[in-house]
Amino acid sequence: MEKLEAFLRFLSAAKTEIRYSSLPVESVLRKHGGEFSFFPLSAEDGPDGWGKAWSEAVKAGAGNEGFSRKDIELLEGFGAGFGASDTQGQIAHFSLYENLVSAALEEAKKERDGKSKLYRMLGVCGGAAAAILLC
Amino acid sequence: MNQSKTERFDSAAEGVCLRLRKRLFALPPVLKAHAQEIRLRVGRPVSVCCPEGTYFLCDSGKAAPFLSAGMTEASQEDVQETFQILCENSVYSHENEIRNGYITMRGGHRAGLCGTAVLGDGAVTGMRDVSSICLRVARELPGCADELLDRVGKSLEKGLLLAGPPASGKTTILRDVARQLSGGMRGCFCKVCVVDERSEIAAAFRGVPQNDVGVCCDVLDGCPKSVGILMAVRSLSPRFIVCDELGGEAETRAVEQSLNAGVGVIASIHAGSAEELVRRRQASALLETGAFGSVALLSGAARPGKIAEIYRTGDLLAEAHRRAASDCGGQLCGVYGIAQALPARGKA
Repeated sequence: MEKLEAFLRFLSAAKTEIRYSSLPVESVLRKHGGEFSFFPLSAEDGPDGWGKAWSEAVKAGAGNEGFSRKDIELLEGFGAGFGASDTQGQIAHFSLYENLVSAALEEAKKERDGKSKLYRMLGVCGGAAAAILLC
Repeated sequence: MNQSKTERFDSAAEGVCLRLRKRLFALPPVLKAHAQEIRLRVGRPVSVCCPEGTYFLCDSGKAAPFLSAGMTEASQEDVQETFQILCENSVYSHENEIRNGYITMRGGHRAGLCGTAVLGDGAVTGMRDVSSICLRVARELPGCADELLDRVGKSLEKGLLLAGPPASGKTTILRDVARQLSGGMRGCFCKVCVVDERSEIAAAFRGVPQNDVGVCCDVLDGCPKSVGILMAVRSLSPRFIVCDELGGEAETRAVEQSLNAGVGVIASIHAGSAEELVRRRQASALLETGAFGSVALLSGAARPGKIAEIYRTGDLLAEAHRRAASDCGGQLCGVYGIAQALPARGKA
């Protein structure tokens, strides 16, 4: 969840950077993507170029940084449109992914809350069972 | 900046997709040294344009000045990949350039774009389905402004308008003028501001001029000339402002305002001859601002960078007024009148 929050912060900072200074993709990643070691900082030339570099980097490294399979799909989708349109298009793209990541974050929070309730209940039940056995 | 001609070609070819780049790198050095443009057109052979003619890339790795079987054609994917490389995978970062039909590359090379224009509110807002790319290999000619600067001398401070037809070397000379003035090669280090609306003079890439414009030169890159001239006057205190292709009314007004700020304006304008120059309403308006003490006319595309004549602005305007008066009287003035009458005075 911390990583999703960090990605949301990255999206917000990168959106501002693109709107204000139009820095190219590589520089945006260098400047604001420090929290993510898997971000590709350059793309190999080839027919798939940047899209392929991003997709491979996310597949190879995002799992190790705590992103779930669903989050990884989200990251891949984001990379496919990053840099591919004009400023207005990029701002719309970033806003869309801010919403999607926020929704994913909400879901993760609900899941965490649900699980913590379950564990608490299990703890209480376990404690009660132990107390009954000991008596 | 001291790259050899073949290195210049290779650095321009870096902007081409991987498949075609390998073939361009493998071309003979003689051809690379002469090359002016690399042209990619979807479904047609890749060509390299030289002053002596056009060469087409062959699958064998060579280039031929004629079409035959086995030519290397650029595919849609090749052109699209090249476009992405030129944009550094960041279309938004080159939005304004794309809108104007070009992208400036590292090394000062320029890629002209051709495709389907995207319109919004009656103006071109972008370009889609890029179908051809013209990669112009950047070239600097240090010293090409020597003759001009020697002949104009101290009058340069009163402003200079460089007139010439397309491909006559106006921008190359302006670049060398900026370099020499700001580099201290003309006595002292002059503060020069280049208002480089289309990134042609300094060719700044990520804020760094790719062409040598001297040590005391500030570059307002991508800035409209009408705005940039006033910005330079207000905040950069230049001794000279250098800009390319003046012509609009707003630019004329900006030049007029700089006149009263003690700044010398060195600019270029399209004109094939002195007659064409004074006939153009915008050119006459520019000359009448008083911001240009001299007008240098370039020979033309056949002799790029060669000065045909240098005129005093007052003489040109007087001739224009005389022509206008005689036209009103129903008499047509010979178009060669100025060219015959003024050289002697210009040389004086």
